[in-house]
Amino acid sequence: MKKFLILCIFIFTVTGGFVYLGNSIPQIKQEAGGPVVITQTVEGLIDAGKKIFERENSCLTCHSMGEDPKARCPNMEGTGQRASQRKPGMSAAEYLMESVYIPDTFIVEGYPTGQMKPANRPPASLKDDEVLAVTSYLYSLGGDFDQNKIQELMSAQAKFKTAVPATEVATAEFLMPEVDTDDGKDIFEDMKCWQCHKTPGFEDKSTEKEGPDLAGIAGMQDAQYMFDSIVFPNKVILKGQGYTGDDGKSVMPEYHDTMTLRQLYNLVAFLQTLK
Amino acid sequence: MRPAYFYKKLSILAIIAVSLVTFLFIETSPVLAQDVKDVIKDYRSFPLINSRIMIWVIAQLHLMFAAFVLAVPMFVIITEIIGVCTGEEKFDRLSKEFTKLLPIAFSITATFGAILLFLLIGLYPKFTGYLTEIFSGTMYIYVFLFFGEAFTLYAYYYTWDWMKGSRFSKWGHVTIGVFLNLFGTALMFIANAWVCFMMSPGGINENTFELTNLWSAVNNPLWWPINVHRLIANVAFGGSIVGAYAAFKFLGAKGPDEKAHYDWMAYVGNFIATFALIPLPFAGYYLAFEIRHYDFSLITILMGGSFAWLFIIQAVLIGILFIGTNYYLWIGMKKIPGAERFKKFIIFMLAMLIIGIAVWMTPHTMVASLEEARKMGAAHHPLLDFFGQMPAKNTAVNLVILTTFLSFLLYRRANKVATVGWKGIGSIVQWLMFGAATVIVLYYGIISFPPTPKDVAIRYSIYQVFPVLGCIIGVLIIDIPLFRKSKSLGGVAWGEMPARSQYVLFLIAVTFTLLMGLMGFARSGMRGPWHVYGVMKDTSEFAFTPTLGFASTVISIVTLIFFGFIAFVFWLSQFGGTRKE
Repeated sequence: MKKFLILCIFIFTVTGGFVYLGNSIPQIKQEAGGPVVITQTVEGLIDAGKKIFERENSCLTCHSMGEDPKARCPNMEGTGQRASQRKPGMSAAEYLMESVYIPDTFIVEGYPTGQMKPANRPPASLKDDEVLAVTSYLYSLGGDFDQNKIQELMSAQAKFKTAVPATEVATAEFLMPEVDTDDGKDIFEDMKCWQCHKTPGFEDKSTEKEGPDLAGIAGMQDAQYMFDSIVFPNKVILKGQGYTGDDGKSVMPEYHDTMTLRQLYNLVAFLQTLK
Repeated sequence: MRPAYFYKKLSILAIIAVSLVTFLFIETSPVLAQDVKDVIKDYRSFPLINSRIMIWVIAQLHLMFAAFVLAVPMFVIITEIIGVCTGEEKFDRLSKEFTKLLPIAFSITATFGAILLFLLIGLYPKFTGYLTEIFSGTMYIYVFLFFGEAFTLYAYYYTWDWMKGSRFSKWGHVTIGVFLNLFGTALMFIANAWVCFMMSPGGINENTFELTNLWSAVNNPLWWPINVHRLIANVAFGGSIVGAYAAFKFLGAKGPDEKAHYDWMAYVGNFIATFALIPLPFAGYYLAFEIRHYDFSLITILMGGSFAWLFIIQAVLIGILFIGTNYYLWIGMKKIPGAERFKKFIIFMLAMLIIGIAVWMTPHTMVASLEEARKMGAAHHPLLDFFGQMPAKNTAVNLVILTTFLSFLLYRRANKVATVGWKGIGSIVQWLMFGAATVIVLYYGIISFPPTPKDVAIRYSIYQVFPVLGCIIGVLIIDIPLFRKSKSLGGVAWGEMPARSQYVLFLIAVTFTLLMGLMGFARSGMRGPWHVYGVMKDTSEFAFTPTLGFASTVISIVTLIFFGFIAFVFWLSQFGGTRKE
């Protein structure tokens, strides 16, 4: 019984230590971010925007207010002054709205992409009037802010609030018709691609290999990439000795005048077998 | 009424209650939703303590017992199979002794599950209704699996002696145990799908939030990371509870034989807990990596927002686990003849552990006054700024894991002298593996610091993991044949352990339990004011996330309640066997 009591005291002490530790670090209660009262006046918008901007787990988690080299996202101090110069051809109001609704469209130099979600989506999930308040607050930092600028923001908001982030726009799938890989291999041989590219199955045709090695290319690149590389060799140029001429362009000829569409598809189909 | 009979009855009642409630709820909720939905409230309150805390406490208790009921059969089946293969009776005895704990633990798990379900229906009807709309298909499977687990669990326990007769029937018994584990794991996976859907919903229409694909809802982005993490964590947790049980029995043992038995049992429990603990940080890292991949904002809130301090507490707890585990092994080496050869290494290993854990628990930012910040010259303390960054922490945790593995290795070979012809080369290769892993970990740790971009640093942190895992696997592959026909320097004096070693086992078990509660709070809290992230907002008055101080108090209370029940289970289990046992 005595040992059992000692054991109980021991367990109480351990859990007590845990409670002490939990209470001795900074205590932060994260409010749910309920509705902020927003009045559509200059002061009302700035005040509400500041509250939203500064609340827990909100903008200040990543942005700083003053230079901080460790901040994950840009310094917001003086944003109102800088906004009009950030992106050529874009007004301050448009820049602010674009940054809030589709943040990855323009990335300030030195910061990575994908750090911020559109403000009208989780976790922030701001409503339109809340976005207007936040951008009003940001616009007011480092500059004058008045009723005209609210109108500018509202016009810009109408333009950007339904915008879809570029990453979410569906891209057309590159489709291949029915192909003949054997014919593609013959084309590869006839056009002497092996003269410059080291290729499995053509090792015995040894000459100067100046172009990129094609072994395993199918595991690294898709059909569209191969298609583009044949038709437009300068679209992507790999770094490598002898890949480019004195003009900095690819030494590979363009084939858009010399191949039929059928030949091109079959050649790509053959390249896709090089896994 | 005999306790065995009592808990058998209790178990059956609990199973029927859970199944009935689940079935009725699934069957009636769509009707309710259509006919009387205006009458149904979004939330209801709970008297005296609020509804959120009530759900929190019961869910946590249910989860802890569920982890216990899932983990112990994993432990038992391993030891039973070892017993069958080696023919050593002590493993069979050990397995049966733990199986005795299962029926009552299973009943308590089911009872808490039923209470949780009642509370969810009563206190959060709209949210529970929505989850039912999405997952009703899986709930039918859950009921089937629940019955499967109940039947195999009772069959496993009650047929133990009956099926011991022949080798053939013994393997039949093992097969029942395997099915018990499969049912239990499948149950956990289904429950995980519901929980993960709340964090990373999938399979629903983006605008209407209606179900479009049940499999996508189940196989949501965080499902597998959580499955892997919980599976490994359950094994570690189960091992630690087994260690605590053995310590409990050891402290009350009446003779040297009993002490020897429970000392050996504690070693086996701690061994399994340690082996699951070693890969656990990697599984946690995989989970964090997938959370980051799913939504960067979530990981920012978790690691860089107000939860950042929670990870300092986590580091303290994990530090206790690693130091406790190592300390237990070092005390244990005193009872092994020949272990004194390795005593000189202990001080270095201790130093490595303390330095590693100190780095791991270093906060990146400190709450400082303006005056203090001016004295430091920046918002970050120059020392903390360096050691508080992730590259330093990743390096520290990998080296702590390597040190713990080294401790185990020395314990394993304490009374052995290798006799094989290639022992010299074997040992050199093993040490080279340790050295290479350490160098690679340090190299990638150093080059991960800024100005290396964060994305690159994250990739480097993965490069740190593989050499450590490779070293552990490689060294073990060599170690097993190296000491197969070794010369023994004497038998292990089981039972000759000081009482303080048993308190270390309790410390490990309690710390594991606290850690489970803490990380559950982090996982749930990072959603912020969302029942289902981005889909269903929590509009109740308890939508806020409480302070860490408050959370640690609730977690501690839950832990104390859990250990109260566990003490009851341990006490009751002594009535379950025959007088001869």
